[in-house]
Amino acid sequence: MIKIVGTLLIVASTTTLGIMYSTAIKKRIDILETIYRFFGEVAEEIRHSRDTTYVILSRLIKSERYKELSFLKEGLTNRRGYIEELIKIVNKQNNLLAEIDKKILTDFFLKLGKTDVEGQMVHSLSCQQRIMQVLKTDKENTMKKAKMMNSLGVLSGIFISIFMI
Amino acid sequence: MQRRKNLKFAGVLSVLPERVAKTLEALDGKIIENIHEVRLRANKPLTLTIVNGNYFIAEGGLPAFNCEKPIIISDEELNEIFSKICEYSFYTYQDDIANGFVTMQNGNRVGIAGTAVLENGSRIVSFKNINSLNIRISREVKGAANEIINEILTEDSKEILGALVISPPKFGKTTILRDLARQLSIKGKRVALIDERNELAAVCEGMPQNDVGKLTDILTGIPKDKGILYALRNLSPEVIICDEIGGSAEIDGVIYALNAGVPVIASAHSGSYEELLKRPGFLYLLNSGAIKKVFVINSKSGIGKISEVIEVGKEND
Repeated sequence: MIKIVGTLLIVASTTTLGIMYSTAIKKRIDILETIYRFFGEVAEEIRHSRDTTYVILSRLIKSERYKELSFLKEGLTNRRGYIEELIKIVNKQNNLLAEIDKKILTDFFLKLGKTDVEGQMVHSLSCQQRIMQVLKTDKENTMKKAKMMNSLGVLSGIFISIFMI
Repeated sequence: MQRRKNLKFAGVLSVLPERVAKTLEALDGKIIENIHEVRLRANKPLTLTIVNGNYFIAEGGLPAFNCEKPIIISDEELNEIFSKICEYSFYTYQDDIANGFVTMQNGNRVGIAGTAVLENGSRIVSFKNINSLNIRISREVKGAANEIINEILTEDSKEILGALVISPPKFGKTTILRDLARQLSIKGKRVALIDERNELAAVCEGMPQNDVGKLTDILTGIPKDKGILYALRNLSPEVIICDEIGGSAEIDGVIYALNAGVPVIASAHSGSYEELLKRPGFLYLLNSGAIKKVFVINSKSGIGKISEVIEVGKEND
């Protein structure tokens, strides 16, 4: 009986570990998909409302639809130097973002608001395309890795249990 | 009022480099109150226009015309100041920039000098290589329209007369119109304020930063001629107020409003009534009957003081 309970506990814990790892891996894809939508909506807002970048970013980042980007919130405390703050925050996200993601976000913020409406449309859409490229190449791999993590979790649990018995 | 003035000055300080902001912040309150303009030119000394004189200032010093080590603004600093003025969002201000000015959140107006970018060889679409910025500090003076308010209302205060306030630049026309909107609103009149350059109400994120009255509807950023028509159609005002008319479309708009039964109170640049009559557009406007009174402000009367009230059509009486 103890052996069965022990086996179940081992399998349960390794499976949980596997799920945790796979969720962490998939988190980046969720964020990238959110960034893709975010760039599009920033462009729409610029064209539609012509509000300042600070107002647009505050409105979007604080909204529930972009909760994956909530790590950017603290960059919006100072109305004057917020672009530098946002870039700093992006570059600190080593766990959530890959270098290429950080580069795209940094480029996006650096050129944000620096041109007229047409220029901003082109800029936002080009950043959106870059995110799409990253998603295309990384999404499949990431999903495979996530599945592998899930399987590994279960299998390693079973393996350890057999080994212990 | 002092607090509001200080807020407007603080708005200027917030876009200046720290060393400059610290120097200006340390000035005596009376000096600050009299600063009308802060002029910034690339690689040249910062200039303060105090009342009507121009002064330089050294770091940590006092304004003086003969200043040994005046604060020099570098071109990088000027670009950064301009970015801050535009809140890092040039597209938001692209139409204003094309017209050579930007109105800051607190109503301060920034004139731009640089190289014009033309489209089709004639239409200015932007300015590049900006080499000079003139920050004009907005003034909100409650009571500025006291001399005018009773002149434009009929004895029973039921009707408002169309009026024009004229003066050379910097004589307080905008300040008078702003207070007029507030006072007419207090008297229970529905006012439509056509604030093309956002100088009258200084609307920031939908909220007016200046007190223009509780019965005042504000149309910001809309060309005056279109604003007048829009207000007539949608806001049913009892009076329309707009600043600095001059173009033929704007004059036509004022006449259209008269024919719709709504008086317009506006301002225009002119040194005197005689000069005004030399401009065909205004001659046409005065002959139309849309303007019943012209208020003249000039150097004789001083800033914000009415020198002459002319009843149109009775000039020779």
